[in-house]
Amino acid sequence: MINQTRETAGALMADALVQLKGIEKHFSGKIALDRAELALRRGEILGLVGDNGAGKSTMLKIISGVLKKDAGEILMEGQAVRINSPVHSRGLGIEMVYQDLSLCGSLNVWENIFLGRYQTRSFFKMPSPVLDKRKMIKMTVETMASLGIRRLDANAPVRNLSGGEQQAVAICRCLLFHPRVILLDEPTASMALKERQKVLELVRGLKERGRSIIMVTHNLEELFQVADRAAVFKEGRAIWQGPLRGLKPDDVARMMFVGKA
Amino acid sequence: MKRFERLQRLGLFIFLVAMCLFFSFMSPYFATWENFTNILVQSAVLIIVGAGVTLVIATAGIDLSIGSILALSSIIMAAALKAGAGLFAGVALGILSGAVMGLVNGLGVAGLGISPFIVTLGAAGIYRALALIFTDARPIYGLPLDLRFWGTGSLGPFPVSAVIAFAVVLAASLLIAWTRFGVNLRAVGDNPQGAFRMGVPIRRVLVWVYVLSGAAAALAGVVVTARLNTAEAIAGLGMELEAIAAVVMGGTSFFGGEASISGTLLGALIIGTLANGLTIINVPSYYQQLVIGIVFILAVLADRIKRRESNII
Repeated sequence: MINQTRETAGALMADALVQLKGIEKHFSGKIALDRAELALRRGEILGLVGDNGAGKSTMLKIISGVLKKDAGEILMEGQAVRINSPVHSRGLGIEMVYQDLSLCGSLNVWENIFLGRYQTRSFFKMPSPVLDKRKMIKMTVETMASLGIRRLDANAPVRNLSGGEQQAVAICRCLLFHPRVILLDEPTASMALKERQKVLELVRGLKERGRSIIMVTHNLEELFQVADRAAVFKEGRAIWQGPLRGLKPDDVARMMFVGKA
Repeated sequence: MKRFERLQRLGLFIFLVAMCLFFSFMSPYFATWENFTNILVQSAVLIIVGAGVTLVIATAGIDLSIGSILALSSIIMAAALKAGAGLFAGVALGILSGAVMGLVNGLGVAGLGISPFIVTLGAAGIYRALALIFTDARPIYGLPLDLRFWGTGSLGPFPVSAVIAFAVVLAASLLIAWTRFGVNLRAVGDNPQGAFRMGVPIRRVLVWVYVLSGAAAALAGVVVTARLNTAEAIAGLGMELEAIAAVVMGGTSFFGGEASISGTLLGALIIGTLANGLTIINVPSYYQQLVIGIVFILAVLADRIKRRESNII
């Protein structure tokens, strides 16, 4: 199984949208990523699984620019790119929905969605720092509606929303600027079953819109529900990457904990 | 949440009106146009300083150096005017010096990552000491008569200092509600890590917030100096407590993320009216401090209750 997947990972490199090579990351002397490799194809959902501390979220944060890698290379469409901050990664069309969602509870829905990327008015054809609230609220309502969310008040403070609604706001925020790659860090963590299914539907909807997605999850059932391929992380490395077709959750679990299928 | 804020604002307004009725009942000298003008003049300094502090507290920070900035910047302005600088140049220099002192605070907080409490407490001591050293603890008086217009002049029926205060309130309200900076500063106060991940330049926002607070304190210093026609190193002593009380009473959360300039205006008017009314009914000034201290603690308690209701703490 492992030999087969190494071949699969190698074959992927040619048509990968995002590719990470030899990524290393240390925290206070401890190694979090040890020459880790990962490849994401266009239009697929790649699930990252592994035990706590295996390096999945660290990998995602390096792609999103929240963390800087110590060594290694990131390629987009075969070209080496530098990602030193979230602004860089957004500029490359990479958006991330964080595990904690990174929402500001006291700000309302549209303020959260446009945080850091406001639409502003111009006066006499000159740009200004004055917010174009009407335009931002309209865009928020439209994007929400396109995700099938119609009852959410764009002016409501985010702290008043349910967990699922907050997740929808976070997903809406990353969709608004037409990203090519979406990173999801445990999008259904600590959610009730009903809300979890709604979020998974949203994730599938993102794929249908042609987005390429990397999703970290602990839930193997969810992995098999939405992902096309998976990468199993153990001790800072992706020890296996390959398609999920023909596999069972138990096979992946064995790789996560034993290191082989 | 919004309902709670509206109720809080309405409660403050009712409290202000009730206080006015009480003092009117207690003294025939309270409810006169002249005295209302006095209250506006007395509250103007607190309103100006409070607007700056509102921005700082909205970022979950604090500025304990505003009283010292007020004193040192007014000394710098007075020294420049005495040295022959024009009125506009002197006032501009005073405000600029306040902004620079705020910049130092901002760099300490955002650049060095030191707690705002420590940075601004230390800065308060340094700026106050510099003002005392520079003047040898003597007041600077005999300033150009034109300056007095800023403190005691009138524009129609309204005192100039009150007009300046309301202009500051208007500018700060627009800044918070209608600009990128306004949303950014509330985001930084609410969730700095989240704001950073969304590309908000959190350090730059923090530095600017302290610059604006320093500039507001210096503008208040211009008004104080103009009113007394004297600059002194002990001006603005203890102003921090009143300003922070006005801000928190007005509904700006101590925990950051929210800013209400109209609330700060109400808070400052309540404190100004309280000081004026207690003086008119012959209550010694030290009781005023007692009342302000109690009001401050009650306002912080209300803030905590509000946050708990929203499951934030």
